[in-house]
Amino acid sequence: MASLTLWQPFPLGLDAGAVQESVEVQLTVTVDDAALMEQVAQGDAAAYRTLVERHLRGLHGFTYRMLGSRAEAEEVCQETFLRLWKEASRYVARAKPSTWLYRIAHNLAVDRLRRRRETISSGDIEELPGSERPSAGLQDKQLSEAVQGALATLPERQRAALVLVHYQGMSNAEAAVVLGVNVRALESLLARGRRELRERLAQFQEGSET
Amino acid sequence: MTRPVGIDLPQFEGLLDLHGAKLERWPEEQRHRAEALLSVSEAARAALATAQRLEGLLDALPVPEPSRALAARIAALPQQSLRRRARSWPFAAPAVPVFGWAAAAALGLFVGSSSLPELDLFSARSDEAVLDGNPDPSDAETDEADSGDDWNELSELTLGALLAPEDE
Repeated sequence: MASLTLWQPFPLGLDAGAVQESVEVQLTVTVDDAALMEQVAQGDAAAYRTLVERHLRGLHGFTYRMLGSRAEAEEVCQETFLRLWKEASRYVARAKPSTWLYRIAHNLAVDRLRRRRETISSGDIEELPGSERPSAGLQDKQLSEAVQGALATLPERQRAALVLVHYQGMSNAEAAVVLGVNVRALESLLARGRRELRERLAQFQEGSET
Repeated sequence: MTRPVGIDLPQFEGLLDLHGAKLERWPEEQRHRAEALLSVSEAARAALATAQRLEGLLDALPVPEPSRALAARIAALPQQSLRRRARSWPFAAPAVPVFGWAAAAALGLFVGSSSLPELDLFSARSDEAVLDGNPDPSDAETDEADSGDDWNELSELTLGALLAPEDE
């Protein structure tokens, strides 16, 4: 974000008493992401850092919710921004730069989930703490684990669709671009994901009613 | 003004799964239909409450903030990348280019003085054949002759077509 200070002298014909002695206008000029991407493609490290400041938090939240591991989320974020620095020239302005970044992060996260699946048997996944049925007197920590576990056991595309739309606040169309599917397919993933979650967390929801 | 076509409970539940419990995020037309149903249906209000509880559970899930160390590591990636590129460039050290140029010059002098008389500098034909991927000059000549014939035949045909009387 760049800031620009303008000093404007009194316009002719205006009474000096009618305005302040000087008009100092503080303008904040926000360079949009697409312009920053062009600058990054030309090797501008300051533009790169601005994009990092804008998108690290969101990407970190997305990758953490996808992977359920802080360490892995950090690695994926680092790899995503490295690609941004090295491959910004390959960005085509068909989608927003943030969508492009989320797509890279999503693909990297999915790669990790697939590698993880190769090393962990399905029986191990069932034993994740969050997939246990929560008790009536669930504490906050247990509640978090239950929700995180329910999310973790969703099929990865349903999980990604839910995380992008619910947590990242993306529109269905934007999330569809990140996942590389059409909007109808995205909506189907969302609907199935919500149904699954409702079933997995049903006991807790009943508990919260009372 | 036409009234929006109503929806029933299963359709409303389907839309809740599709769009979530925040009605303000729904497409306008579907939101109007849903609101009409909600105003008359207790079951629809219960379904909405269930969906809202699910979203409340999702919202309650904390997410760690990215650490300062991570932000610093990521911000430093361009410098690291440039440094790595500089290390991988073989002529990075100041003395290396001098040595490289000297070695290249010595090799050039040696090759030039020892093998110059043996080179057939005037057989440009053979060089062209190699560049064309055809190492045998005789083949190249044959190709050239063949292509010449083809060109002549093509010219004749074209000319013939142009010169042919229209009424024939």
